[in-house]
Amino acid sequence: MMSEQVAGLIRDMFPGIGVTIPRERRITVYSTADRLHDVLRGLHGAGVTHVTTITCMDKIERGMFELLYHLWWENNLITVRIEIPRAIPVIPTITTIFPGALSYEREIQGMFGIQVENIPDPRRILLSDEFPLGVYPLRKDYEVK
Amino acid sequence: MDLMTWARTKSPWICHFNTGGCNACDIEVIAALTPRFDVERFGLLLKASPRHSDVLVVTGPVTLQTQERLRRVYDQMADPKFVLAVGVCACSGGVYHGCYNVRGGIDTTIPVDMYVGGCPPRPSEIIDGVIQLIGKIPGAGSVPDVTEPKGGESG
Amino acid sequence: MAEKENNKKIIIPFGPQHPAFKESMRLDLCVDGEIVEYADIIVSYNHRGIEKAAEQRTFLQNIYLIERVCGICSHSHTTCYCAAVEEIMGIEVPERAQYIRSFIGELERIQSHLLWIGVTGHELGWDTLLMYSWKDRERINDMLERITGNRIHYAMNTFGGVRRDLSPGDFPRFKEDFDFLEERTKYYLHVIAEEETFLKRTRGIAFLPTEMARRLCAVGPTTRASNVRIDARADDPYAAYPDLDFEVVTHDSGDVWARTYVKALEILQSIRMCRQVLDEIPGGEIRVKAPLKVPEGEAICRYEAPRGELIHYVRSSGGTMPDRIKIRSPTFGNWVVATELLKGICIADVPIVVYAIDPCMSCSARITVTDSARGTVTETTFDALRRRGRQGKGAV
Repeated sequence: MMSEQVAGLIRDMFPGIGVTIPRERRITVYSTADRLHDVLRGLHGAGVTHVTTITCMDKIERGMFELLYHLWWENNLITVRIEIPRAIPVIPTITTIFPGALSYEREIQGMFGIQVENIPDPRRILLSDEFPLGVYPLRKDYEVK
Repeated sequence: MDLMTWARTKSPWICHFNTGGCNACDIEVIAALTPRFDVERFGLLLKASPRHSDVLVVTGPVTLQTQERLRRVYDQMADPKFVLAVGVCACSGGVYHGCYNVRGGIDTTIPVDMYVGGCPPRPSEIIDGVIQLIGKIPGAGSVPDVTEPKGGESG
Repeated sequence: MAEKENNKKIIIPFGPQHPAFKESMRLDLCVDGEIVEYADIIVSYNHRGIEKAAEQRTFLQNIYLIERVCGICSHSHTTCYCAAVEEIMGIEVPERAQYIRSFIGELERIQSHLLWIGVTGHELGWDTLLMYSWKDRERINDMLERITGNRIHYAMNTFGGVRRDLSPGDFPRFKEDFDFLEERTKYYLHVIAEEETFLKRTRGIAFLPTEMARRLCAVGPTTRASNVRIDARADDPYAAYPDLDFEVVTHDSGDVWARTYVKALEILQSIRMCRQVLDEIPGGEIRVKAPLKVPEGEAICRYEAPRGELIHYVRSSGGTMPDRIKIRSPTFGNWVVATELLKGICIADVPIVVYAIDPCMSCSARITVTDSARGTVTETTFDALRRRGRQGKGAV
């Protein structure tokens, strides 16, 4: 499907939602944390099954974490962007909709300290056993010694 | 040369362990076993268990998670044992030096007898490293000549 | 162990030192007799902290670092990264450079698949296949060395194009090499399709249904062998792929056999594309001048690495160093699949089932079997388990 068609579909599904097309085959959807589940569930209902990955960015200057959920559908990469406060980094799991996203949620939990509510497997995935708990290396305030 | 030295120098068995590298050196270590390079003509054999081997061939930088395991693998080998660090990452941490999950080269954890630099070193360089290592064994005498195989590019 | 019935179950840790896996990793298998009930995969041994390191190096220095995310698909990573940065810079790479990038990418795919076929043979206890396929693979390494100067880690990409050109004087020799490799691949296809031992060890093993492959977001030949047609070269074309003719290979068997068959067929498709590049590569520059500074912006690039869909997200805030680089390599996307596939299989089949998803891993082996009922700890080797597999299920 052409990007304009997919963007139009998303706009119809979620009235008022911000949708941009940075270039062909790339669509950005601007959402909020509380709407995230509805948006993803709606996309899943429309036929989206493939989560490519979840990117997290530490916007320390604004006190926010920005989360990007990258989904591949109909030859378009749909990126759903949300922001959550750095002070209370809590987000619900999306594994109830996309079970394949488990590894990515474990990664952002371990690397950024984001609490993913109801995650089926909350163990740290990449960091070693000796790496101190409560220390999140991909945060901007983590200094590599 | 007594029998034990002869056995050690004519058939050094190797055990390979990747402590967190990118695999390039591992592919070249395995390529050394394949017909183009054929380490078995020097009596080298890749063994699965450290208890069966004389030389521990280590690739990759030591990550925090593998450090203790590397130590344990080394301790399980029977004496006399030798360690060959293959690739710049095993020598010094390489491109990952300074990363938060990387301790550094192999010598941060276990004593190293021979360093083979390269990113990755060619299989012939790895074989050369093992042969030079054999030459260091007391009583070993002269070491076999590692010549480049004919055919193909430069081996 | 608290419950009496749990005492019958044994947890076998495989790795981190293990001949089945090319990188350090550990599998904890909870077994009931010979059957795996569930599996856990621990991947923290190989974590180096590259994404953090990339934020402390300049964009150009990161090409060298990102190439070393993986030794087997190094070109995939740098092509994807350079394409993302070029998108932020707003520069267009010359057509000749795009063709060269695709050519090297397909050569990399051929060598990766031949490597995989060889190690699969080794996992099945069939070292002849390993020796044959790796000997053939050396032809690809020779080609890559002739073009780039190295067998692995080619350092071909830079911002704006590629660093070395293809020399037309080499083309006749490359074509001969492709003829040879095509003949050999057809032989391997024949072996995969007809050899009784191979069929017995791989047919019906670790079946991944199409619906599960989609649900678990599997990528690469693993999912294509379960009839899910997802291939970034066709769906999200980049480099020279819009101009190259190829078929996306799928199969509906969904077992280990299908994954092998799909990979062998993909080698033939790659050879086809490489020949096309040699015949049709346009002239012109191999590189345009890239701006010294990367402007503010972000880009996401997808690439079909030999193991599957690779994605790089790059964010620049206008400085000399990137704000964020996110890399999701294909194997990371397939771990959940591997864990599911290990349920209900025999211990003897564990190496081939894990290796069938083409993980980026390898080591030497040592396995500890802890029998909680008897309170004993015994050691065995992976060779012993592989021998067990060769002798047939139930043999000790």
